[in-house]
Amino acid sequence: MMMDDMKRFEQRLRAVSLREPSEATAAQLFGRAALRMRSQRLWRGMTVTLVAAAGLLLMINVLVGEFYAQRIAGLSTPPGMSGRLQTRLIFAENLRARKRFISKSLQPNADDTGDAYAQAPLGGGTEERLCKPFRMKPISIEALRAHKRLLIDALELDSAGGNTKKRNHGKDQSSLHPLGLHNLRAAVESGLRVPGVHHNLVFGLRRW
Amino acid sequence: MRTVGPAEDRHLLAALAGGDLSALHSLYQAYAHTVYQMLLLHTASREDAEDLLQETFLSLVDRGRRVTGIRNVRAYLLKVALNKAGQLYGRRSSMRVSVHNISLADTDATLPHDRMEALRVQRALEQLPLEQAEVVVLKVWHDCTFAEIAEVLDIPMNTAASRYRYGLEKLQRMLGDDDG
Repeated sequence: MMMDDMKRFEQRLRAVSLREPSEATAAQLFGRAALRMRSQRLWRGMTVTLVAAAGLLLMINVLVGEFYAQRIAGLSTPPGMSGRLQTRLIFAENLRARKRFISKSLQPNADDTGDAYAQAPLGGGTEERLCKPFRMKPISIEALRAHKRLLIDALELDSAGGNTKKRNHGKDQSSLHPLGLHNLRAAVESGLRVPGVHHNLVFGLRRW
Repeated sequence: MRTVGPAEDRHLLAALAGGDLSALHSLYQAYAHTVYQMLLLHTASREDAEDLLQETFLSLVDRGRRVTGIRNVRAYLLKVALNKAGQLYGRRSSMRVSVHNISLADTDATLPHDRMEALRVQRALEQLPLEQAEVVVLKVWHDCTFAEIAEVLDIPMNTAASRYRYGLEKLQRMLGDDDG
């Protein structure tokens, strides 16, 4: 087909009008569109409200959490660290601290007697050092010593358990020996309590 | 049929995104004709074509604020319409029979002396393969470019051009007696 023919034929076709959609279709479409737009606006409004409410709840949660975290920790929050994060760190530290505490408390003395254990120095800054990881208020040295006695009593239950040095390849790690820890736990769980020992310490040992 | 440019389209889409129903009205005025005729080619009945036309334009409303991301409104609407027709009728091959049952040319609206010509064009269009008929309709009656047709129909531009040429030649052979 020549170009001119093609153009002429196109003109001829264009002269024929093709069908158009009915007026009713347009009216129906705009009605449906209006309804859909209204429901979209409704959903958008509800979504915004829900998001705002969720944000508010989250903020309240954080603020309350912060407040209690600081109260529980009994510590001032270092700059750049939230109370909540600090609490988490304290929780994480707790397990390690408990082990350290037991380990330090049960260091055997030369004569290996219970009295010697009880008389062993608790070390510098004991109150704060020992109380802080357990998130408890500082207690008296007497109370700590009483608690130490409890631990010694518990360990003595393990003293018949065999030569711990031999089992630990020549190193004296009796205080960390699992049997000792098990017995210690058993003693605490059996209700062995010393008056004046802070309940948090007993509770901590029970959970340990 | 009203013609709009890309700038005006963008303006209308922005208005529609803001919830302005009159923008949808303007877009309908501009593109409903084209979309409807494509749907008539692809569906079994006027009713189906009109239903799908509504669904096609409602898809603009459903896009909400994302409607402003549409670059070419006509191509977008045609593509949505073809997808919806495909969903309604399944594969394209199953629709071929239906093309003969509908009247694409507006024989009711034309004057008596043009009515015969409209009927002849309609009959000729119905005898064309669907692939050629849709390209001819888009090119002749709606001034779509081959690039636009290729985009809408997911075919290469050269294929669109050759389908148009073959379609037009067939139409001329069928209507040739009165030409010139």
